[in-house]
Amino acid sequence: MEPSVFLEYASVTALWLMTISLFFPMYRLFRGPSLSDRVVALDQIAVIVVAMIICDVIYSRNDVLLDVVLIVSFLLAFGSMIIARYLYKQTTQDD
Amino acid sequence: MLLAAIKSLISFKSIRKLFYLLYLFLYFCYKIIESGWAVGWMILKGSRGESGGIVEYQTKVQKSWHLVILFNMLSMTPGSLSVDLSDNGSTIDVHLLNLNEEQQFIRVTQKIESLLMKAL
Amino acid sequence: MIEIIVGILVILSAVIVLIASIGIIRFRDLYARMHVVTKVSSFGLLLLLIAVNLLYRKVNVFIESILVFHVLIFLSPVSAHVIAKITRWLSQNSDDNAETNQQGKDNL
Repeated sequence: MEPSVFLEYASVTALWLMTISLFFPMYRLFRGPSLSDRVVALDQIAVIVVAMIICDVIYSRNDVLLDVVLIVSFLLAFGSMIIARYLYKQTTQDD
Repeated sequence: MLLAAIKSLISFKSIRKLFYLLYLFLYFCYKIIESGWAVGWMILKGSRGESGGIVEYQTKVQKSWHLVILFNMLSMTPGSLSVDLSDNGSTIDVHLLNLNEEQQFIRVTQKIESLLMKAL
Repeated sequence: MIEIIVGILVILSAVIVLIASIGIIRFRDLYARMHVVTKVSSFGLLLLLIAVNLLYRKVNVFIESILVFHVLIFLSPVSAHVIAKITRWLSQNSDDNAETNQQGKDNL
């Protein structure tokens, strides 16, 4: 088999595996007992989206998409901090 | 004159500091890979994550930014996640994934601490 | 030859991300799930970034992947710590009075 053809098949297989693994944190997002569990599940979903974009960089040979990876990983970090702040404010409002 | 300036810049002490900084970085990279592998293997063995608990750790570092670096590095070493810090900055509350490995955690953290105080 | 190594690395990192998602659904404790998100997923993304650098071998790709790696290493423990601290504080004074609320407000 040609090496470039193998690389295409490998990246498509990796994309399918990541699509399957997107369902498990989705279940945790719907069934989580508390709000913190849902935040952790959203973190995992963002990490999987970053990994899928890097797989697409390898599949389509287009390195412009790495900028998107940088922005999404910044949003992954700061979004959970903002949700934690909201969680704190919601509990202290009623006194 | 230029040679003397370069010699004073690259003294014995700064070379030793650079060496310890490099050693700390490589040790940290090794610990990241080892921790990812260990937790992944724990999932594959079918653990439900019920044997964890929160322990306290007394630190010896004084400067505040040393404390910040130690606090972030502690989250990346295998089986430990830093949760809280006391007000005077001497006690860190750490969540361990497996409470039986407390001695190993204390050994690794003391090694990182001594390397940090030597390097910076 | 280098493309075969890159393909093996990509499949390996996809399997590691799959293991991390299974851990999210299997673990019962919240702190244990945070361990999984911080460590195993970072390990998988590290392998993917190594694969991209092996494939392209260009300077701007290297610099950009170093940036992404540092964001992952230094900012994901911070966000995990914030969530863990809030959760612990909520579980501690869920049945307490307003005095501890005031103390927690000073701490944050």
